Amino acid sequence: MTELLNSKSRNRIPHEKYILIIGILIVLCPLGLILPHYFKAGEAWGEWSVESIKQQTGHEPAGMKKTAAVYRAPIHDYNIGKEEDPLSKRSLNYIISGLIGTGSILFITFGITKLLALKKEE
Amino acid sequence: MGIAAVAVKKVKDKVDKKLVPFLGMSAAFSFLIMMFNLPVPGGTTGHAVGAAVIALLFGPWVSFIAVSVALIVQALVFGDGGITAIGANCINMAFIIPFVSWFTFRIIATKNASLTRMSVAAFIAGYLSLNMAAIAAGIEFGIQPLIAVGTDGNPLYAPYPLSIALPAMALEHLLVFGFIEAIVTLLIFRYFFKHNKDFIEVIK
Repeated sequence: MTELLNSKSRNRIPHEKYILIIGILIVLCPLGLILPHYFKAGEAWGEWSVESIKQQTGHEPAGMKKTAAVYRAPIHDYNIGKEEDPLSKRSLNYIISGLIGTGSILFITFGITKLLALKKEE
Repeated sequence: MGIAAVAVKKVKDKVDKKLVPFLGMSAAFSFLIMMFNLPVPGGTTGHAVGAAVIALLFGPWVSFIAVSVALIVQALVFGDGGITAIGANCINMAFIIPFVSWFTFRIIATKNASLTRMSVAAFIAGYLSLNMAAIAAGIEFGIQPLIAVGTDGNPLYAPYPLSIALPAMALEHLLVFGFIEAIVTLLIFRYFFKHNKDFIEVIK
């Protein structure tokens, strides 16, 4: 019986555990906002905005300004609220962004795998 | 785009019902890992990617697709990285990391290697692959003032030359983020080795 159980569990990855890991990551993700806040760290190296480059170098990057104006992401900077919201509110928004991102990703990858499975059947 | 087509073909060849939820889980995992921005001295932040361990567990092509999906969602939904950077980001983080990770592991740990040896291989695979990606990004940043200059002589995009961009990107990843990716790779690899050893692609 235990042998049967073992062979069964070996053929299947226990999803529940991994869903739990994803859940924990979502709940903890505000750390990625809070730690930089307390250490007064800004954007990742190179991931500057047009304004930020202008401040650093004194020159506005013209090409970037042009392309930046073409598309604006619906949830800019993982914040459904305002930039000047208190850290606690931004942290909550960060979690919501984590959920929305995870949801979008699962939706897209589900679509991809469905498409691939269909093509394989052909 | 060419790489994406190859990736789709490779993954299609072995679309496995058992693996289906894991493309999504991997992509979500990578997306969330990249939300964990860590501050480093110098006032900037950075993050691990998770692409190295996804490559070891499910193969580099699965990792390529999973991390690409994460990067595309980042750019389209959250304005992170930006649409114009999707291509470069995918090459650095979804292509370079998985393949460097995969081959590093394979070189260090041959079939039937001990768990200790495989753990060392996983750690080095994570460390090395993230740094290769950071160096690639540093070069891409650094050549921009050379190839993209406006009529007034000012850079159109990234402003810093190679002599600044390359050390900046390389140093913070060599000293901090490389180790984070290495630890993430090691821990998750060992977890899978303990619980779902038969699924780990790199030791098949």
